[in-house]
Amino acid sequence: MLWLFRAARRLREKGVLGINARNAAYILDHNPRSQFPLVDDKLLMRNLCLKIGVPTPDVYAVISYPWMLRKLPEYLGDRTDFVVKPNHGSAGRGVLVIVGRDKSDYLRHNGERLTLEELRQHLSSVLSGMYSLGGHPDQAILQQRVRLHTDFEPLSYKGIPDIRVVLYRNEPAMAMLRLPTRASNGRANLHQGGIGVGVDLDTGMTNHAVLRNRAVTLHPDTRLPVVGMRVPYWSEVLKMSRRIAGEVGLGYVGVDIVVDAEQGPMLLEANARPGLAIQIANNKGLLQRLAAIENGDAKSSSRAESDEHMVVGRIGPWSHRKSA
Amino acid sequence: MSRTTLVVLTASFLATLSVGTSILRLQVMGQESKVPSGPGNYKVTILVHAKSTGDARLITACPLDFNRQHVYGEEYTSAELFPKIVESQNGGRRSLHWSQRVAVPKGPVQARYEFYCGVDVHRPSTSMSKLNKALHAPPRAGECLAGTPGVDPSRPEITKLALDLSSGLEHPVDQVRALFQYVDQVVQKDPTPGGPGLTAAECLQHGRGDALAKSRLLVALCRNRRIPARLVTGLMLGRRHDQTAHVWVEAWVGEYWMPMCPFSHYCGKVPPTYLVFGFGDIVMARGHNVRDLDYSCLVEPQRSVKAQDSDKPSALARFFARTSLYALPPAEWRLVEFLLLMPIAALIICIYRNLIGLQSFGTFAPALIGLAFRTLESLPGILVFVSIVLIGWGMRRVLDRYHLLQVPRTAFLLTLVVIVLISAVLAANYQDLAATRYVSLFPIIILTGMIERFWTLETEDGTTSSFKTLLGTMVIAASISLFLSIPAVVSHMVDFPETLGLIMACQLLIGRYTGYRLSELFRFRDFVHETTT
Repeated sequence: MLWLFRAARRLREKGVLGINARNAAYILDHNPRSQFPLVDDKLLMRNLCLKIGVPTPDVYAVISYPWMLRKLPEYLGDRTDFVVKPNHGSAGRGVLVIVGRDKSDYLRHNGERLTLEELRQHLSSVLSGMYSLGGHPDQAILQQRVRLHTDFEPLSYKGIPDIRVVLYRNEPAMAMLRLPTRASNGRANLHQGGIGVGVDLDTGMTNHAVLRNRAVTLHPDTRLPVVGMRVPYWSEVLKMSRRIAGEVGLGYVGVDIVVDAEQGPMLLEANARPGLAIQIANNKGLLQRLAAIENGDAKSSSRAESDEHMVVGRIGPWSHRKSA
Repeated sequence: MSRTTLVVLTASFLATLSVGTSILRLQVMGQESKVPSGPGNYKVTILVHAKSTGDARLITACPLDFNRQHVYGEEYTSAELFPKIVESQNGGRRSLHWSQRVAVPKGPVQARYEFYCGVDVHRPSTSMSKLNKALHAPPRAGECLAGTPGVDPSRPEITKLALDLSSGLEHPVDQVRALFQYVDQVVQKDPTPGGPGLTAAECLQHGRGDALAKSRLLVALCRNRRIPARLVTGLMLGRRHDQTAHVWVEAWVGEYWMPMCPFSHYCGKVPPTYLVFGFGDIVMARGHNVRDLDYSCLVEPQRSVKAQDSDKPSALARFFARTSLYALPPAEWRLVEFLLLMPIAALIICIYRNLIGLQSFGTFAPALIGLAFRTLESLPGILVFVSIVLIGWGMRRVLDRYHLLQVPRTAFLLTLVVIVLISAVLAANYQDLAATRYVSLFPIIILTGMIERFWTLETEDGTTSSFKTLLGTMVIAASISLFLSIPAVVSHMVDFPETLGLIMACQLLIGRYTGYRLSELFRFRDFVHETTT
């Protein structure tokens, strides 16, 4: 029994943020529920981005009703590549990436062929809410396909990596790069077999990587090192994440950014309940950094680490933190 | 004030209030905080035993909650038999149906039915008065006049006697009194031998009989004179030792049902200790597929410990007595008992989810499954449940090809689940098992929802993850079921419903618990091991 308490104490020493603490002390205290629809709705986020001038993938068409499916060829025009997304989807569910056309057929990123009818079928199940949170009827978005940046070529398998920045009170607290693998089927979600790579906030260098909770150094499919590379446009990525965090009005938020080969960093989406796996990817707990931000000591992330005597926000069981 | 302080303060307040009320209740009521005691309160134990010849079924009669008799704290226990209480629509007849549990071999079976009752209740509840009014309503035309088994009012000897006794008497009351006089005085008393008992005609012929035979004779005589009369079956609480059913008579004398006991010489009024189980020739215990069925009743008066101190209870004591859950009619009492367990089930879920970190399908679905298991037989119930989820999942996979919209798809799945359940019931019936013991209470909607979630999780996160969650759901449900089948837990909640305050306090505290979940110690194990090395 005692080892349990020892293990818990060790996690606390390491500053690992647990899910109860995240929910009670960060999400419930800092994220007003009224702002959740904004981040859960990709179209609202896009409108926000357009308003504040943050680049985001172009939306070709929004399909809201089944009758609109008849006009699908009209909406697509002669576009050869695009992405289908459920407006309220999460974790990459229901996303269809079309990379090319062969006569009347559409080609997926993994080489599968889809007829127009099959594409309609997929869109129809998106509309029915098959992939949306809570199964509510949804809209389908036909979106610009982001092109893989050359810097990421060695690091990804049939998909686009994305950068997740977790921000607390508009300050980046931790960042990771998520790399798609063969196992994750082009999606960048960690629990589906994507690689989580910790990124140093100051330098934008990748420093640690995990695959299914185990430390790795090589990409399992490309067999190339994933640690020690520089994320392109790093300062722009951080700047963009700060702007978004400030605009969405959430105190604790995850911002997902992709880097397009031509257009540079673009906002993909924001998340009001960012996961905790980012700590495993960085091999570092979040608490010290969050406490540093709270103490207004946020400009440099490295300083937070060096200062060992800093108060760690007292996130024991039943924290006594005053809420903001 | 920080939110955590607010939570801790509220929780302490609730806990203090809850514990304080319990202590106060114990102080004021003493032993009575559990069950009312004092004059007019009895505990009755009915023990039935028999030899099963395979799939035994027993039916025992239960007392009515009406007039000025109140029944509470019913408990039914048997290792071999599964109890189910059955009430007629208006509550005018109650019985306890026992069926043999699965995997119980042939041989001796025993069932114990205990209840508390208060007689001569000063303030009958509305439901008690209402039922009394219904059961003592004027008879409809022809009601309680025809012959019934053992009572044949049209036999010549009965007619002759009835005519002789009532000749010259006009008013039904006088006629009934005359008939009573004869059965009471002339017919000799016999002890009850058991068995079907003598008929009215046999009783008259022998000139002697037990309570049942004498009552049958009196009913036959009354009915012969076109006076509606009926048997009343029950217990005489006044007698302390072991006893069997007692039978007496009620006759409609124009304005009211006049009670009479031709065995113990009561006419016009029977003592309040005559506890009514029902009207008519009710058998206290009967059975199918059993041999050597026998039963016995034990009556214990509940003496008040505090009666010597003061005769008049204090206002507080009266308040506690009035608000005690024991004042509820049996059906409502069982409902409240069930409701009181829900918050405990919810608390157990909080512990599993937030302190341990076990995943389950649906947040409170395991609570409902757990409570359903509690009333069913746990192990077979769980097996049936899991197999239905798995069968449903298989069907859901097939259904996926059809690309149906969500609501019609769920409706279709629900129909399929219903078909599976009906097939299970049919198959069980074919195997001579009462399937209702395992499937009747399953919340179908929850099952359907769970199948849908199982499928979603399986497609999105893989089979391991979905089976893990299913296992988590079952573990939570089983814990709830096991904890809530501890009799002490249930009786404590009923005796001290204020314990809900304590449960709320725990829920509040878990609501602000920011420590690690047990599962996170595993999830972040790399961080733990690094410091050790």
